[in-house]
Amino acid sequence: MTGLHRLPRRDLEKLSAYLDGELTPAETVRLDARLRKEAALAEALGEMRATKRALGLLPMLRPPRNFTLTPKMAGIREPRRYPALRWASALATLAFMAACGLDAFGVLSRGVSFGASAPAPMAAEMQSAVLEATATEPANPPPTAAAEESAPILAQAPPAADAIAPLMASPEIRSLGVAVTPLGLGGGPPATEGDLEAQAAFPTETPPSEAEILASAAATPAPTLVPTLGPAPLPAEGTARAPATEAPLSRLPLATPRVPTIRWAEIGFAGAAIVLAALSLRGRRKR
Amino acid sequence: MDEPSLIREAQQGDLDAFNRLVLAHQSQVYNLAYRIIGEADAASDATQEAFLSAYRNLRGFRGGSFVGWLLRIVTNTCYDELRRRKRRPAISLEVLTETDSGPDEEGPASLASLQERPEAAAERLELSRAIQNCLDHLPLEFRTVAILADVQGYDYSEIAAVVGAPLGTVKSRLARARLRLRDCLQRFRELLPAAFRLEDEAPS
Repeated sequence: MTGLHRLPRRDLEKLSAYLDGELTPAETVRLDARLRKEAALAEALGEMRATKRALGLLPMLRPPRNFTLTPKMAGIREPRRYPALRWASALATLAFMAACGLDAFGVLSRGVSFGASAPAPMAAEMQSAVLEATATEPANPPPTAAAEESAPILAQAPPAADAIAPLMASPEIRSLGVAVTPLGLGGGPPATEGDLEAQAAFPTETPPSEAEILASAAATPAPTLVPTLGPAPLPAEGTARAPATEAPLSRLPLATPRVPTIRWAEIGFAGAAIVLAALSLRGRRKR
Repeated sequence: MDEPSLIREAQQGDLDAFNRLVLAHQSQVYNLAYRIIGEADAASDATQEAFLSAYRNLRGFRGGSFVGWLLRIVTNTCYDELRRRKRRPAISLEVLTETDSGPDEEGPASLASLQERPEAAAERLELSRAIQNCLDHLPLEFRTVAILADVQGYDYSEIAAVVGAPLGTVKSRLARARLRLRDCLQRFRELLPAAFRLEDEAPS
């Protein structure tokens, strides 16, 4: 048991406050007088002073880091940069979606109203193929070579001709005297592609009956995929096709491939949306 | 810029002004947290939380000692942390792996020890740990008052403001804290320098 434990609580507090200079001057004078007389009190004061000094030996520590606050910690929201970019990006996206919707609606409505004339693009395709064949024809090529060269062109063209070919080849139709008119090629029996092209390229080699056939071919109605039932007898195989092609071709409008305006709008809006979104994201990352 | 101006600007939402106040007082705040909790990581967390709380409640500061106001906030934060630990006790990794008083005690505060012998530095470190151990075993209210008075050197009125207690209570708590610390330090008397040995102390 040390001297401190023998002291009354009031004296203990006085000694503690005396050490810290927290007594009033009058209290200090009185305690000084007691300390000179009471050895136990003086001993207790010494113990308390040593304790205080020992605590003072603890070093002041350096903080391991700074405790400053970031705007995020403080809950401060920085003003958004480039809000116009975000809005423009959203608007471009909406415009793109609207253009896509319009485009899809247009495709659907065309598909319903022009369903009967759906093969029109095919006609244009075949027409351009034939035109190409005649345009690239040399001045006086051998017939077999011309036929071989143009065969691939026709091989791309004839979904309609191919579809009709089995029909024309059937004996029932032949016996009925059906004149099937493949689109753009006039009426007449099916012919092999080589024959067809050879005759188209070299009309001079047609047999003498060609004039009559030409007349009947010119009289055939406008080209259509629908098989045309008519009184015309089936001409001789491999003779009548080429001259018949010229008349319908001259009546068909030339199909020039072009991108519709709505597609350009879609491309433009999509590009704008992507560019604006990228700029907006870049601006956000810079923060 | 003086402290009152910084406080005014910080009260108006100027974060830079507040951060300058943080830099000015973070050492005292952290040291109080470390001495109360006794662990560096937990003290860092408490300090950060205290500054955040101070910023959010800055409009509630009505003058007086700003650092005293900060110390009161960090004291309450530390009390909350220690109460939470009491409810859910856990052994911290830092305590398990600690071989000295902590990484922060090897910082600039110990620069003087670079000049002394390694044995002397080790003794100083051991003494610090012994005193901290005695503080850790004090009741929380006694511990805070003892740290504020004898480690950080605040007077009674400042301590009363920090702990939110009357002056008489501070006086009583400090005297009893010193009595308990005296008993605890007797076990480590061989670590104390000769001038600080309790039985060598003569009455003044």
